[in-house]
Amino acid sequence: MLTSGGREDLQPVAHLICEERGLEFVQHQGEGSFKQVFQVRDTEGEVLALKVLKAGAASSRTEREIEAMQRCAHPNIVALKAVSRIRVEQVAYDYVLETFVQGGTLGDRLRREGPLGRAEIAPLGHAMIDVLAHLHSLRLVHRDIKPDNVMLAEDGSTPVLVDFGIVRDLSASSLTHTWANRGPATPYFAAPEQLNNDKHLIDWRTDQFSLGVMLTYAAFGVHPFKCEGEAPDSTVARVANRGEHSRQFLELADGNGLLCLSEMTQVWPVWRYRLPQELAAVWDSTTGG
Amino acid sequence: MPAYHQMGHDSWNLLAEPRLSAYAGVVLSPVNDTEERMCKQLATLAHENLEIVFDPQLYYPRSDRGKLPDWAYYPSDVDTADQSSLNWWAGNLSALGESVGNVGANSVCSPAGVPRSFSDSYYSLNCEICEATADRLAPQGLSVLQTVLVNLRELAVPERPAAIASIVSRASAERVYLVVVSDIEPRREIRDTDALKGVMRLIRYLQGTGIRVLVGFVSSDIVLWKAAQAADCATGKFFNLRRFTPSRFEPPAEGGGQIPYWFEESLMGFLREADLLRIRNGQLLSETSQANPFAVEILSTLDDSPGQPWLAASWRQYMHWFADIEARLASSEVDPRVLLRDAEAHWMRLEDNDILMEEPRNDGGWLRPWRRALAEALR
Repeated sequence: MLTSGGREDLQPVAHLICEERGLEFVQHQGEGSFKQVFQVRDTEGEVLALKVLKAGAASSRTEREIEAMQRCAHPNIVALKAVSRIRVEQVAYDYVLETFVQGGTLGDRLRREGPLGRAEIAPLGHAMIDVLAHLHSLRLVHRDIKPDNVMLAEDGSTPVLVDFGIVRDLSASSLTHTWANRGPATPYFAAPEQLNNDKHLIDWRTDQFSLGVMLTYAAFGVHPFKCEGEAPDSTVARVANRGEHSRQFLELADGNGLLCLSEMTQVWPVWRYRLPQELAAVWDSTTGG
Repeated sequence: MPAYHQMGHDSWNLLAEPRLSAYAGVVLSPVNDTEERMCKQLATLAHENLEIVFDPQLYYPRSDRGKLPDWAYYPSDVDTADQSSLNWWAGNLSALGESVGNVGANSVCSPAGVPRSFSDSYYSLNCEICEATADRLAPQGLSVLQTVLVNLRELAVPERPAAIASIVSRASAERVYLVVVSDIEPRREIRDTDALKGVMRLIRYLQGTGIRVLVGFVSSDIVLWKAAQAADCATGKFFNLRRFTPSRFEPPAEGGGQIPYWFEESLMGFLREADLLRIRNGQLLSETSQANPFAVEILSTLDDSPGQPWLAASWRQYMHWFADIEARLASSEVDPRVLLRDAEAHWMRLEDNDILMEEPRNDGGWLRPWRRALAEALR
């Protein structure tokens, strides 16, 4: 279903899905490379996110994403309600229904209001570390932890991790080719092993790195490796080259009693916290989280 | 932080030696004994206080190695199997568990092969094999050590120790059995400073995560590994510089075919009989040597019955020293920097006085690379 501009418009498909499942269509929410997202409401009044994949967009990665989300059961991970397929004029469209998280993304909040106070950072870190522990127990690595993939619940503070589009299941073979220069990730928040496509170094500590960058950004508004006045590309290059933390970051982390952020963002996984419970204990003891 | 016996050919009598009781454990060698003989030997041994570690030694499973093919766990399809397949390794774990259970070991090293290339994917596979071993054998009450074979030369590459440690530390095993593979010929110390630094860093990184490292096939290089915080080190009577190389699995020549060596701490080197007498005349025997009961035995043999063989005593003299230095390093009674500095100074004194050893390369020349490794690796 193409618009006059050649863009695929999946809203009619969304309407048909709502009709078939007895849902109420609310509004168009957003769009990614392979999907469009709509807000819908079920018969009990719960608002859900309906994600319709573009025709032919379903791939091994999509399957992995859905499988991973189906295995997760955590209050801070978006809950998958249904996965199905609809045929419209001989074309098959895959779609998923997820809980709709109302409070916008952490990224929006940080752009709007600036860094969070300590009282907000502590529970944010605590919840997200618990999420990593849950993923680790399932041998899953999210690989794209960043403020824009953390939604805030209606209370404005409870984080919910979304977008498992590049999740890695360590029990399954990697889908990333060894020849690729860089593994899938959002570079600014990615660990060196992602940036260098060191596939065998990817594990939960890769997410720990990204979480460390995200929490640093949320707490201080800086990247741990970014020197003052530096372009983001240079920061990413420093991480990829396994360079050093910026002096500014180390001073901020030290001055705020959050040196564990420096451990979380060490350039080699072996230098980070080895186990999620170890990280959780340190985080809680330093933040009182 | 104890020393472990690394069993080799015909080593059982050393376990029963009361003056070597400082050893806290034993790493069994199925290459050298059949299951039946190993069970029999362990049954006759009072080993309640010894940790019995079983190393399956499937390092070079492509050809017959000693008694290995007699063991029930030795895979019958070893020549045709795809050894890069986790399924193949995992498929052999039940039989391994049975053998280890029959022997009565407390701990088992995860099976691992020596690869052509020590790549990241190799270390990843080893992690998976270790996880599978733990899943299968931990319920038997066995403690599982992840076997980590590293290529000495490769560790000279600056980033390799951190990369390898990153992969290895992913496994849930709380212990690592580290084996350094090299092609250095017997009777030669490692002189590659960068490679030594690499091994030390690897040990330190792993220990830094809380993983307890047992370094296998160790000799006088224990000084470096302990300085890097290795929890445990294993040696055997043949590890007076008989390293982990493919040739290690060939049975050594018996009795008279071997030359006895004395280990001298003041030089951190191994000495032949004539060299020992030279050093003794030069008043360079360390106090430690003079307090070693087997050293005393050797010296009195040399004094009272010249020409008498002292090979068996030489093994014991070395092994007594090893357990002793392990304890002194672990308790910080000895500073490894001082130990190596003094040893180098003693070699220089010998050189200045034209006191030369029989073997041309036995000149203490390894001590400078060792001292550099010690100074630079732990910065």
